[in-house]
Amino acid sequence: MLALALTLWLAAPPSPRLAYEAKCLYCHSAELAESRRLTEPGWRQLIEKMRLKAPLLISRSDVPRLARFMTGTLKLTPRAAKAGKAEPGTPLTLDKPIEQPPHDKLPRDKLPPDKLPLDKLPVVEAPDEPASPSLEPSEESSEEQLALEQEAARLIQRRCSKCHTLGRVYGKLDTLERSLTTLERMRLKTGSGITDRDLELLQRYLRSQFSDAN
Amino acid sequence: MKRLALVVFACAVPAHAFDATFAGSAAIDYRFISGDNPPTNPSPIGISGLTFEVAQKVVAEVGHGVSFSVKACGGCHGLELDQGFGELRLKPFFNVRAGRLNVPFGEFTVRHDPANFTTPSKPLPYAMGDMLWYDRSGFNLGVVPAPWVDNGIELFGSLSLSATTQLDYSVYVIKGLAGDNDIDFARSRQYLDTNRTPGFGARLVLTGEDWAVGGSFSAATYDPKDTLWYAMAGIDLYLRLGPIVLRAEAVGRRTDLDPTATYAFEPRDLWFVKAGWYAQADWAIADVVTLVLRSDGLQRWGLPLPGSALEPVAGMQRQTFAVLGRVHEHFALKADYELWTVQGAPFTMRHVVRVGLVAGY
Repeated sequence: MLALALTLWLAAPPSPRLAYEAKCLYCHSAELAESRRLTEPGWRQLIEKMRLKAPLLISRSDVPRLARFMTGTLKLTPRAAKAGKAEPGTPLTLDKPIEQPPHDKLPRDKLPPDKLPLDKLPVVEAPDEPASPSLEPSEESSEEQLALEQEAARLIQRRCSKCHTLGRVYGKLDTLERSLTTLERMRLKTGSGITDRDLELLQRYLRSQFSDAN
Repeated sequence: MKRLALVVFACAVPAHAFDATFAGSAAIDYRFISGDNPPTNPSPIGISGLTFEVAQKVVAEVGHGVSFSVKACGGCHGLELDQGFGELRLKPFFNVRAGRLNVPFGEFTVRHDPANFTTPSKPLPYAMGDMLWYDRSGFNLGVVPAPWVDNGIELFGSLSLSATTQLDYSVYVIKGLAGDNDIDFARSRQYLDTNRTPGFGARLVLTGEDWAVGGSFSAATYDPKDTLWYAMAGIDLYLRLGPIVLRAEAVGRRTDLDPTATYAFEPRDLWFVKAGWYAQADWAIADVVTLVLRSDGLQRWGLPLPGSALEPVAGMQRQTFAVLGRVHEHFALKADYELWTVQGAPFTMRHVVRVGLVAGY
């Protein structure tokens, strides 16, 4: 039974919620991660920005998947409102949270959007400009790319976490050249368990993740 | 050797951009020991039960498979050089590392940084000044120092056996451990050799998809007169079952004793064997929480050191339940409960509670 349960657990495809928890909540609190309301292109832009900070944590194909999860499941989209002024401007970024006093101490006109009554919600405009071309749905990762990313994520989890916390891995491998040389160096650590096949797959994965970022 | 290194460096730099990777860690740990007159341990900040250590590492990649690693750490023994070596990666199956190395003995060696292991304490075979009754009147430390830092040269590589299995090897010549009438870990870290016979050793690891089996061996003379030998060997296992990681190691060391040491009787069988082991299960119950169960022990057979409270057969066992919480990308909280029991020595059972904070980047 235990073996069956483990097999099923291992074979289960990663759900978008798990991806959200594993990737967005790896660095941010849920409160912060869910404090924005954006259109899907807006989320893509934001998640892509985060991806460039940790390309090994958030893969290319995670971007549209997470954007869909934020808008489809979490419903973190701009709410249509009858009253209230639009607040265009630079969207808040996740790495610059704004300190807010407790909601019950705030006057009604200072409440954050998710605490306002629906009829008082401000209108948030969708960005005029579409997301960058590389984020357009037509360029979403292929099935092959998705399979590569899933296999690479599994390998990173299994091989790197043998000796390190994954945070160290995600934080250090921030350029292609550094990633490749570090991978080569780590691979040769006695007992690393990184085989020729693993090396080839991870190199392919790293090149696919950094090709535009560097 | 220095000239060769400079030539390699000079040739390498123009061809590739110099790339440096920084990493570091800091750990603070407090422990409470039950009972009257608890055994004491050194504290770098003078507060009994509180230890603190920091480490900073930089790896400089200069191209053509050449890199230089330097790691400094500070703790109970002040500032020390944990790593300071150059590495030349030639082929997957043949590579060279030379300088001040972390000697590849056992599986725990590669995880000796507090940011890389899940419990607040090291397993007993690798324990040093943080174990109970650690001095020469007690068990005189573990079996293998961790980190084991030594000057030397190492050849290492990896042979692919199939798509998922490979054999990693490492052979080395080093200065060797040092001491008088038993090993002294602190003296072993000194930069100059105390005798003429180099130490040597090897490690082999067979790895598969989610498992690994390793074996290690090392031997040398350790005294200034170049007459007393130590030889140690170990076996280690690693197995990953979904969210559960199992690790186990057993290491043993046979050490010659000094026939000129002062005993109240005429000593015979001038050697002893010290063996240590641990079995540990890490269960990641959530992304941020790992539960750890560990059972470890240390056993000593043979003539006690002069002044030691141990009997000819003495041992200690420890049962540990630990929790690791990754509270932030760079910070983790560690806490554990440890039950220490002793045989063959006038020490009483102790309950130990430890809490620690580890930062790593």
